[in-house]
Amino acid sequence: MIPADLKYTGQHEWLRLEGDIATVGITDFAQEQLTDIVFVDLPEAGRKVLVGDSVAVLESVKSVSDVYSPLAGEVVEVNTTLEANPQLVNEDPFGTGWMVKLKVANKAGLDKLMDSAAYQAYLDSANH
Amino acid sequence: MKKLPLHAWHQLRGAKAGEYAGFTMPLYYSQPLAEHKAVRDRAGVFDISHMGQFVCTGEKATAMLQYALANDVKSIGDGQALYSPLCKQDGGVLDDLIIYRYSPDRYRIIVNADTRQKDFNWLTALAGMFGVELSDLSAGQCLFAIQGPQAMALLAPHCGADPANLKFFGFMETTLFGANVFMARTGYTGEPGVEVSVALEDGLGVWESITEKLAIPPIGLVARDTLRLEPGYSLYGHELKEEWSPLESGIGWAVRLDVDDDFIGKEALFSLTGRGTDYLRAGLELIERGIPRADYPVTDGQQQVGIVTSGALSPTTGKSIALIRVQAPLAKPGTRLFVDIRGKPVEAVVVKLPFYVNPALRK
Repeated sequence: MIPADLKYTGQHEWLRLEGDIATVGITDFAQEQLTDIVFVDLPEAGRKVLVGDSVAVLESVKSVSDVYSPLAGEVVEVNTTLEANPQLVNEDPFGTGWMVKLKVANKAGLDKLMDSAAYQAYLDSANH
Repeated sequence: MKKLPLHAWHQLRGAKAGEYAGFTMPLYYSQPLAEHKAVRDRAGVFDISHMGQFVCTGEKATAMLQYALANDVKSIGDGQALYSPLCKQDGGVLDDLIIYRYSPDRYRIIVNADTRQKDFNWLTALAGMFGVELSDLSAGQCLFAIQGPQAMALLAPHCGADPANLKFFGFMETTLFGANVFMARTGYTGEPGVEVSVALEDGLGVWESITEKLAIPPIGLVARDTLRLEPGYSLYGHELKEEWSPLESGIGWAVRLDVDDDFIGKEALFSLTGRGTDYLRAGLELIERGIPRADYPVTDGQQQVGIVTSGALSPTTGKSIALIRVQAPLAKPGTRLFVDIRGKPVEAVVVKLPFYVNPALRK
C-alpha cells in the first residue's frame, strides 16, 4: 500500500527524488482523512519554496488543507490535470494525483524524512 | 461531549465522528459527495436527535407564541407547521425554529441544538407570564429526517397513514414500522421528505428498518450542510446571529410586521423597515476558480463590503456558491463582487436564490 521508493513527512506528504527533481503528493492515508477532494489550488511554476512552505492547497467538501513542501527548491512543474480532475488525488494519490515537481535547491532536510517502513510504523503508532 | 441515542450504531457503521453543538455527531459514513448525491437521486436518512424539542400547552399557548415569535402564529391551523425567527427586544435573532400546531392550546416546537437551553429558558419565562406550560421532550426522543425524491414513496407502505397526503409543512401523528411517530413534511435539503420523531425506545428499530429494509443510506453532517446550502437555507450561527435582525439575514419573509398583534422585537424591526437595513443576505456564484468559505471577506475590488457566511462547491451544480452578508445596495442579482481567497480576489456575481431546489419540494 505504501510505495517503498518514496520518502514521507509526518504531515503525510510523500516525495520522490529523481536527480535534483522532487515530485510531491499526499499519501493514501491523507486523502482518506480529507475525503472527497473537490478543488486543488496549485502554485505558479517558478515559485521558490522553503521547507514547510505551502506548495498547494487541497479543498475537500468541508475543509481546506495545505500541502507543505518537504524540501526547499523551485517549482518547475505543476499537475494541471488536477484542476479539472481533483478526484485523482483520492483515486491515485501516489501516482496521477501528484501535485508539484520541485528543482531541489539543497538536500538539507532529506534525512529528516521517513522511509516507507518508518512511515508505516508512524501510521501504526497512531501518533499522527 | 453529549452522544446521540444511536451513537453506538453510527460508530459501528464506521461514521467519522465530529463535534457539533456539544454533540459527537456523524460527519460522514462513506464519502460526503456520494451521500449528497444519494439524497438528490433517491433518499437519505439523517439522525438529527441533537435538535431540541419542546411541547407548549395551555389555553393561552397561541397567544404566548404569537407574542414570542416574529411570524404570524395565528395564520396556521391544526396539523400545520410554521417557520419563525425567535427575536430579542432589539430584533436580534435568538434562534430560528418550527412550531407545529396540534390545537390552539397545544404546540410542538423544534429548535436548534446549539440554542436549545437558551430557547428553553427564554420561552419558559414567557410561558410563566401567560400561564402556559412548557416542557422539554428532547432527552426522550429520537429525531430523524428522511429526505429525497423517493423518500415518501419508500416510507408509505410502512406508515399508518400515507405521507403523500401531507401538504408541505403539514404534520400528523401516525405509525412507522409499527412505532408511534410524529411525522412532519419538513426538512433541510430542498427535497421532498419528512422529519420523524420517535420515542427513545423505538428509535433504533425504526432507524434500522429505514436503513436496512428500505436501504436508505445514513447521511452525515457534511452532506447535510451542502444539501441545505444549495436551497439557500440559513444555518444558525452562520447566516443568523443574535447581533443581526431577521430582515437583514434573509428571513424577512417570516416576519409579520403587518399583523396587529405585538411580538418581542416588533418595535425594533419596524423602525428598521423605515430606513432599510445596512446589510442584506445574498447568494453568490464564483465566476473564477476557487471555493468561498465562511468568514472570507467579500470586496468590490477595492474594499471589503461583506463577508461569506457559508460557502461550498455545489455538488449538484458544480458551481462554487456562497451565502454572503453584504452592503444592501450590492445585494442585487447581477452585481459583480470579489471573494478574497487566501489573499487573492476571485471574481463572483450575485445570483438569485435558491441555487438549487427540487421542483417537487412544495408539491
